[in-house]
Amino acid sequence: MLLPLAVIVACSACASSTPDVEAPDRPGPVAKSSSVAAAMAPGADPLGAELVDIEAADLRMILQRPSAKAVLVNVWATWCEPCVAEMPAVLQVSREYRPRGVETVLISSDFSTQRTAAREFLRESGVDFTTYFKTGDEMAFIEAVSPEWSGALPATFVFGPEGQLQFYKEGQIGYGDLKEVLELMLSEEGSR
Amino acid sequence: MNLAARLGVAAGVLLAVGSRAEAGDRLALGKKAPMATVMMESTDGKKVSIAQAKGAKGTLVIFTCNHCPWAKAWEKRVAELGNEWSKKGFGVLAINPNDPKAQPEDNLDEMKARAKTLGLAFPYTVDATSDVARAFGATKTPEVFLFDAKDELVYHGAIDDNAEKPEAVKKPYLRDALAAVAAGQKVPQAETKAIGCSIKFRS
Repeated sequence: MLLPLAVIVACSACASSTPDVEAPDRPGPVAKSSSVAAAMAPGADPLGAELVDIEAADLRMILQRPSAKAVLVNVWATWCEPCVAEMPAVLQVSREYRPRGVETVLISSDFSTQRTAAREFLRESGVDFTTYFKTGDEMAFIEAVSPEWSGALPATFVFGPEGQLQFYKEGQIGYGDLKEVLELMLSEEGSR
Repeated sequence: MNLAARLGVAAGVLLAVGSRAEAGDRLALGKKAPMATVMMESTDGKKVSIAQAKGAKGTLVIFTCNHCPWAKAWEKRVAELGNEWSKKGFGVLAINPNDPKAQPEDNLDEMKARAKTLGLAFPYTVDATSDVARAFGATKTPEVFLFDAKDELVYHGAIDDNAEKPEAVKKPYLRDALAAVAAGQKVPQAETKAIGCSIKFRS
């Protein structure tokens, strides 16, 4: 247990870049902790989290969570600076609201050449649940997430238990706003 | 300010459909270019408006920028298409709608350097208030708006279906649209989508 914990502690500052910091020109937001990640046994994910390739056709199954009160979806990429900046907030909200029936779906929209960087970033961010990697027809994928979405990143969506779109935002989202949306959703759910 | 307003969502709509933050309504097919007379500073040192950039066959407006990895993945193709079709009677204009305070790589000096590197034969301009992008309902870079000879929007969306691998493009959406407009034909696929970076609107 100590090793994964060390990864999280060592990397707690890594993923937080602010919007007015100049965007990195090269893919992959984090350099410092990669040596820690490299020291781990290859192939074994210490946090037990897989990164699973998906296509547009897989999204219906992924987004429909009848046992969930709400499904929080965040589409991100290592090359997208505001995506990287907002990830700690998305994960914090995800952890806080999981016990209240909110399930979180993270989908990386990185290029196939960045898949390793995506894995590394997730690991360093302490993601301990299975997340997804977009493949296949991009337009079909965008439509399958939501026809309302233009394809802009970052993108955050909240779906109800029947898969109905309740909220979405294109552009960076903050912890406070995410929390308020979920509180509103859960209180609506509770009052039904 | 209530939650809905703070999140940029129409009042009472929060638990229906959400926001696209600061973007305006998407420009519908058949509409003319909004804010067409707004003068924008260009990388060639002059000022130009969409109306001035208009071509006899049609006008191609591309919102793009320096920093966004998707814009960068497509920028050679944008340069090639823009240069090629500006010789075939189309007006071509690239517009950077981003706030350089949010993205320093998107300031005018950097834009000039990029225009030179790419050998752009058309203006690459600054949307100084991001209002042109707002008026178009543009949400990301890159994002294409193609108008026909009657100045009506006939194509909106992506350059093609593969940012990552130019050699693996199956659907060259923009090229097909340009060819259709040049031939006076209906654009086969008028609205497309692709991933891009959300526009860093100036406040």
